[in-house]
Amino acid sequence: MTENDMYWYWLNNIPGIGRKTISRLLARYQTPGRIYEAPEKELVPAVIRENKWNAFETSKDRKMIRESWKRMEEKGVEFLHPEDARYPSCLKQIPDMPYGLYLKGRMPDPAAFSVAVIGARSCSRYGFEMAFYYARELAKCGVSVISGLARGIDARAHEGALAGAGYTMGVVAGGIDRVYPVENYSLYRQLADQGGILSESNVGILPAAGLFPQRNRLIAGLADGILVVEAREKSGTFITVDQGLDQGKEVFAIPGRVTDPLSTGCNRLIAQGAHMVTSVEDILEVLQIPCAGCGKDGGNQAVSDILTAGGTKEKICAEDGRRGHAERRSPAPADISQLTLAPVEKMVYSCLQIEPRYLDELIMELRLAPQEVCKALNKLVVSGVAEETARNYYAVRLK
Amino acid sequence: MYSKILSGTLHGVEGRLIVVEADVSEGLPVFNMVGFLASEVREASERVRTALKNAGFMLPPKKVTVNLSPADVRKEGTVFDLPISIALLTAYGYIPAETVNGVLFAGELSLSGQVLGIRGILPIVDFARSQDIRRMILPYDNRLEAAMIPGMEIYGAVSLKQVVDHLTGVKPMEVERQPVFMAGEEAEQMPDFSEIRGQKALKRATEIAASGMHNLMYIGPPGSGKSMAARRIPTIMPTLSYEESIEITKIYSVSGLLPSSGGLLRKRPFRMPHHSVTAQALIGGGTIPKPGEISLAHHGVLFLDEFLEFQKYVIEMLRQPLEDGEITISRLHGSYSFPCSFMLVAAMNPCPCGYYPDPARCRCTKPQIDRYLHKLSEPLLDRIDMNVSVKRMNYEDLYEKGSEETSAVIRSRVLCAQQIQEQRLKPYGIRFNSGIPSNLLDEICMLGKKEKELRKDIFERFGMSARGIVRLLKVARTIADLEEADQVECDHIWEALTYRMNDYYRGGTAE
Repeated sequence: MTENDMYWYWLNNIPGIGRKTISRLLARYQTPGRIYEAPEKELVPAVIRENKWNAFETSKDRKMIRESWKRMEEKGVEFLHPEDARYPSCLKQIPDMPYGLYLKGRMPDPAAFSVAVIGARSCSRYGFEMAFYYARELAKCGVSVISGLARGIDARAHEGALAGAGYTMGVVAGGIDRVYPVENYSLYRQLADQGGILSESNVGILPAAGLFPQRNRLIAGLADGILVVEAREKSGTFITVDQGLDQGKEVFAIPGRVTDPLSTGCNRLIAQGAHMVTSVEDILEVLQIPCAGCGKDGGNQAVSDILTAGGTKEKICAEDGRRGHAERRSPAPADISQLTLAPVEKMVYSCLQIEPRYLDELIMELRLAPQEVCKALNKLVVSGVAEETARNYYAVRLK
Repeated sequence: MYSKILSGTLHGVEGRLIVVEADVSEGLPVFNMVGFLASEVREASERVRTALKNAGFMLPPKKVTVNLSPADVRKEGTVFDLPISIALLTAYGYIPAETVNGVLFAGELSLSGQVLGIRGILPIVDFARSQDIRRMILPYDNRLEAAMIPGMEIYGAVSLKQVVDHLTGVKPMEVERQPVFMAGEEAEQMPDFSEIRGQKALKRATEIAASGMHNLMYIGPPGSGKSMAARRIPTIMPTLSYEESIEITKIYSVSGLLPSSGGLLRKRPFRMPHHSVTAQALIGGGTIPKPGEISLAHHGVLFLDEFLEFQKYVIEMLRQPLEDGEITISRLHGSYSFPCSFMLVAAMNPCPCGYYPDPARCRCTKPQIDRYLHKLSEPLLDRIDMNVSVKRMNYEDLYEKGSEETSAVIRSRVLCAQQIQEQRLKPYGIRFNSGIPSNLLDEICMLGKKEKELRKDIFERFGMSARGIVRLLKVARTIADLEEADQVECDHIWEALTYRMNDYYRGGTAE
């Protein structure tokens, strides 16, 4: 811990002193070191209110600061301040920038594109699978997937990114040591190992409700584009979207059925001008992302190629000419053409959808004996083209 | 003078012979009763003396000793009033000793000398027959129940006076004519499977379960027809054999639950204890153990609705009886065994609100559901072979035209499958596929090469445990029996997978 680190750490952990005060202090004194040394008569009451002065003064205890820092380090958490080389430059551009960040794992590669994949906590299987699919495919293209490590879409997006062997970062509301929700514990561990977990709160702080909108601002800030997978008409997801729009980020939405309340938010976004996403390329094109492993510079190179090709965007990737627009990667059911399926199995398969269907509905619809349908379903499950999502509920599996 | 009278008592659901001896001799007038008596038997002395007086018999003051032997068996209940009074009258010389020889007496007396009915006469009569006792004088109320045992000479007595008149030959009673073999013959409205519309998966699973006596679990939202289906399971089970009927009737006789019309029970029991049931009520218990719900469900169905609402320790108690088909309850005065081979049918909601996995209605989170399911006991789940999920019917299916299979049609298939099982399993001393021990499973299922490969696939693909595979194969064996196939084939295993118990619930998260 350098002296500068310590000043920054101190500045971020004074009780009663928030970002607004910090920004005023920094505007006046430029560095935290100078704030530390500033005399009382300069600060009170111009910058700091009298009733907060005591806390401000007592917080200037080097031993205490060092102990607190040590506690944080013991949890495997690092502290980043705006002067740190790892502090992401994109966050410096957002209004109300954070003056301190707590990190477990590593930060996303600044040269790589990043997309926030967000959505509702309670989601349908459609949303669940879409989050996985797009996160995985984006990760395969070297895009960092940012999300909030919450239930539902968030967790599924992280899983998808990990499945695509890409980088993924979870931005959480409370202290990093406070795993919330608990069922994501193993995901937390994985992200700490293979990706990163970021928070604006020091360790030990509980994820209070008020911290979530702030967390959402960071998600939007870290991403180049925001992909909304599934959201109701009124959803916390829109806080992220609004902040993203304020920060000038591209907004993408996956369309859903008009009758599905879980998709009304997404459909409205599209109506309002968000990019509709039906394939991974929809995102790559708008953000001008080249594919696999290329950094941002490579992306610019690719874009210039595209522009020289007459702006047709015929081929998006300079290095990998195989994948043009003819081959768009859309989520689709697993391919059954390779399998030798009995006629009954084909019939049963044709009745399956992405939303799980109950065994009896299939039996009724097909007008077959229950044992025939059961056999066929289990064979399809074992061949990997169908899935039993809950007891006796079946759905197609995506590629 | 000395006299000796036969009577009987209950031990669990079995009868036992008790000899009532009375001796009347000169000496200080006392009335002594000995022989390990419970307080209600001790009180018999007062009832008997008063009843005798009111029946018109004068007993001169003498030294009277009554002994109930064997002396190491605790005597309980009011069955000894009548035998004691007859022993006294014989000892006093009112009744010639030879007329009571080889006659079994049982019954309670009122002070006026009326003979009152008692509980559990059937096991006593059954035991008496095995001891070659043919003639019995019993309360009039119990005559029909007793007459269910063929070849008995049963007299139903209303009053003590009537008994004495019969024995002294003043006015003989009439032998009870044997009633029709089966009771409950009256055209009772039985529920029928045809009343359940649709629900094909549920019906198929139920049919398989009933055929192999597999314990079954229904998972579904409220109002989806879980209890309706469970209630109808006894109607698709084969009719009771005479032996089964006797066993059940004995249990109900001991519990005092027989209909007054008498006759053997011919309906398979269906017991549905409320989830507030205590361990004693479920398993059997009390100072003098009485059969619990599991025994009352013997040869029938024990349905536990809202399975998760039962107290955990109560449910845990089912483990051993489910395994053994018998429950042994030990008390200070000995241990009592009650038969309890029943089919367990459990029903539960899939999540706290009941509507999982319907996203429109269920807002339960994964941890909520996990916590809810955590109440299930793993060892008990190991004893449930099958589960099936049930969903509420929609209107069209509910009111669709067309007829549904009746219970009788399903029963004929179940019967056929059970007969096949009986034949195959007889050498192993097992009755149903659910009872096949895992070491015999391969032999009985006769898996071919292809089937063994499939078993391996499933083991890996579904992450099943060895136990899970055992249960899967048992169910597959029953499916094969329903199709009258000698060997368990791949198709049977494929279907059995639908009802597998392992990882019965994956909480909607894909792997």
